[in-house]
Amino acid sequence: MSWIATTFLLISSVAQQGDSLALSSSDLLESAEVAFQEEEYQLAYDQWEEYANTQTLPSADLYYNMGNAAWRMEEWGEAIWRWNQALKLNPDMEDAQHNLELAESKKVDRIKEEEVSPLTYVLELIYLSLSPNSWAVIAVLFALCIALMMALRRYGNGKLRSTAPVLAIISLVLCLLSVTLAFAHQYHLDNNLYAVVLNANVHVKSAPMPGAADAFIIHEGSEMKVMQTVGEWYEIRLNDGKVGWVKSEQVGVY
Amino acid sequence: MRTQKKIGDTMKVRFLIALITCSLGTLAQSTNIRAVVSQSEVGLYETFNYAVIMTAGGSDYSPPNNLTDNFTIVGGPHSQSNFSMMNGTTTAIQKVVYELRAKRLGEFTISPASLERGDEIYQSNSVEIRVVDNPQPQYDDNDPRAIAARSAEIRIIPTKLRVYEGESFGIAYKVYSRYRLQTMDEISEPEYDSFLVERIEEDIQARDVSDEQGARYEYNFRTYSMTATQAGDYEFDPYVVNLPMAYRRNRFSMGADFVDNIERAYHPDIEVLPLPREGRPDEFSGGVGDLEFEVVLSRSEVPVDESATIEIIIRGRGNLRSIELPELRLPDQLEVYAPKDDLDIQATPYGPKGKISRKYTLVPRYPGTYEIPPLEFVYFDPIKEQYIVSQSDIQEIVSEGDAPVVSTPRTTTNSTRNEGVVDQRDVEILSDDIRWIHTSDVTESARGKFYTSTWFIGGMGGSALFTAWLLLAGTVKRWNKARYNAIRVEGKRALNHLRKSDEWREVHLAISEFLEHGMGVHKAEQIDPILQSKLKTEGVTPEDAQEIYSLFATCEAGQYGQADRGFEETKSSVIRWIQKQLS
Repeated sequence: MSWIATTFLLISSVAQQGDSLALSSSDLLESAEVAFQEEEYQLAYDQWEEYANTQTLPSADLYYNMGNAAWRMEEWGEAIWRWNQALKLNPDMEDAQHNLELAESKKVDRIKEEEVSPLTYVLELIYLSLSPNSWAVIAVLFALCIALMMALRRYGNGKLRSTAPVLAIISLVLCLLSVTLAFAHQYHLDNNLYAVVLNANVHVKSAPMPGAADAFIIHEGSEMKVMQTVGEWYEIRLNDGKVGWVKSEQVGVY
Repeated sequence: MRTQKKIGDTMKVRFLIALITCSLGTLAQSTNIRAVVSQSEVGLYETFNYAVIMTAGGSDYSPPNNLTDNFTIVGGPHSQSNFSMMNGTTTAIQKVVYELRAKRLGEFTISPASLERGDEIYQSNSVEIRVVDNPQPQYDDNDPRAIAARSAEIRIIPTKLRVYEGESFGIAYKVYSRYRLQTMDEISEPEYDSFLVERIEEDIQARDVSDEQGARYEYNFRTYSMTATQAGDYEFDPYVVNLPMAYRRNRFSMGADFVDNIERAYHPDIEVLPLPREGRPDEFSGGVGDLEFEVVLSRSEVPVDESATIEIIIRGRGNLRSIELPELRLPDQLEVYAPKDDLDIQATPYGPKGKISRKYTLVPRYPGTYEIPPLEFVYFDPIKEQYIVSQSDIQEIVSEGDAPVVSTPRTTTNSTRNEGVVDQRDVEILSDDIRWIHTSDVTESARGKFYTSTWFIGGMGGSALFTAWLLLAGTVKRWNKARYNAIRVEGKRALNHLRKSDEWREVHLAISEFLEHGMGVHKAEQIDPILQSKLKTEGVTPEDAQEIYSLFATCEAGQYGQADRGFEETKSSVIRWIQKQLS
């Protein structure tokens, strides 16, 4: 009997701990929302950040809210970084897209796009046009379509029966294509690291050393691709092809 | 002179003889086609004849495809047909004669002419022609042709020798002569394929430009207004013209005789440069020249439902016809009618000059102040060698009047709006701000990868399984049925054999055939203990498998030695075993 009592006590204590944690997290979010509504943006940002630190996989909406708080504090770089983080987790988030479009006006640097080959341009245009989830949904729909066509072939009659295999093959091709595009977009998200300048201006170095020569200056909000990491330094590449090194504390990476 | 005429006559006679010879040759054949020329060596700009002789009769003739590459057709084709009857056979002969003049020096081959008759195509021979420079005539100083040759010259004078793509310029053709021109006979002229050309009609009145050597006349007889359309270095064929000179044969002769004077003017080369790519704005209109840009609003105060016009004007010297006018963006609340374009361009000796314009008529339907944003016009100035951006001013229309309700549809528009229906307009954006925070999904964890999600795996997997089931369902059943039928057929056959058999060999064969064709166990496996395991996989019980293996061994022993049981007993056992398998 004693082991039953011990187990019961153990389970109850774990459950109570879980409840208290959930309650405090919930309070934190509620408090952050209230703070935001009362225009205490720094407090709201800190509480959302605190909540995010307790989560293994914070939601895209959490990052979006942090971006909004940063924007209100006129931390343009921080806001752009957080909204981009949200978009990376949920590429379909329309609000983050809208806010980022608005944030374009706050960027100081005009960076011209480097010319890419027409093939790369078209391929990227296609697979980045929809999120991985959207491509996956399309793929599942085509897979269901294949099953439907096979059912029509087996149980249908007349013209429907004869055209069903052709439609099934077309659906199969489109299904495979959609899956490929979904994986291509997901690969793009998983294997490309980007950074946003958080400081008002950053002197980009020509080498990962504090004493290295300044290569060029970039300003808050400018976005760039992270090529590699060496200690506290990131090698970055601007869209126009300029390459240099920045310290990790100067940029937000997503 | 008489000698040359004689040579010319001789060539004509030879050509006629060749024609007749070929004609007679063709008579002897059913279908024939030949090409001949009056002379194989001709002077530049000299006229000669090229003829194709063929037996025709409902035939389809095609001239040589390169006839005009190096020669100009100055006469013809003249067609002549002959019909003859010889020994009761009718023959039709057709001749097609061209008068040609060479365009340039060199050796050329005129490719074969062809004749299509029914399903067959006949081809003539190709003809070689050598075009040589006209020999300088050795005239006597008193010869009128020598005097004429010394007394006239032609000059081709472009206003510019180096222009930009799209730039306009002019080319003047001038004749200087010491005798008055009565007529001109053009023989060959340069072609301007990569230029927009407009010929300016000019008066061919002589201008007296006498010098110390006496009377001299200048004829500004032709001027072109040109626009370069494509970059490149251009060379041109010379301009060749006959300027006949009037003279009196002697002091007693009545009236004037004329002597030919063929003059050739070399055309200067023109270099057309491409427009610089560096610094070219995206809004470049394609305009090149000395241009002015203007946007004119007819009035700035317009009562509601009254009209005003706004006109975009580009004027000056340049390629006006190639200019794309900037697009006018007007507030949606202004009703705009289809614009009217107007071109007023004159060809001048220095290129086209004038004005192009686009006029919009607009009607404010609501009171208010409408701002017309500035327009930008970008063109290239070839003198400054740079792109010029010209911007118009911001224009404002102030409209005053009654409420924004359309009273009566106007007859000048296609409006079908009814009375009392409010006109819809675009929502006016006052300020743009970021969207509000998200409160509902904040506690949810970030979505994982799509390929780990339940819906993706379930959807794809479920579809695949369902498809597989649809493809494979019934296949096992059909296979079993086929197998059962095979056992039945082979079993019956084996039983028939067994009932008639009276030797060990026949019983052995019956078992073997049944096992192989009915149950799929091959002969090689039947003498091996593996037979039992094979039969078990085919659904035979272990006891039955053991029994048939034993019976099979007995038959083997019976055939080649001493069996452990009798023939009839073994035969009955085999029959029972097979009947059991069939049941």
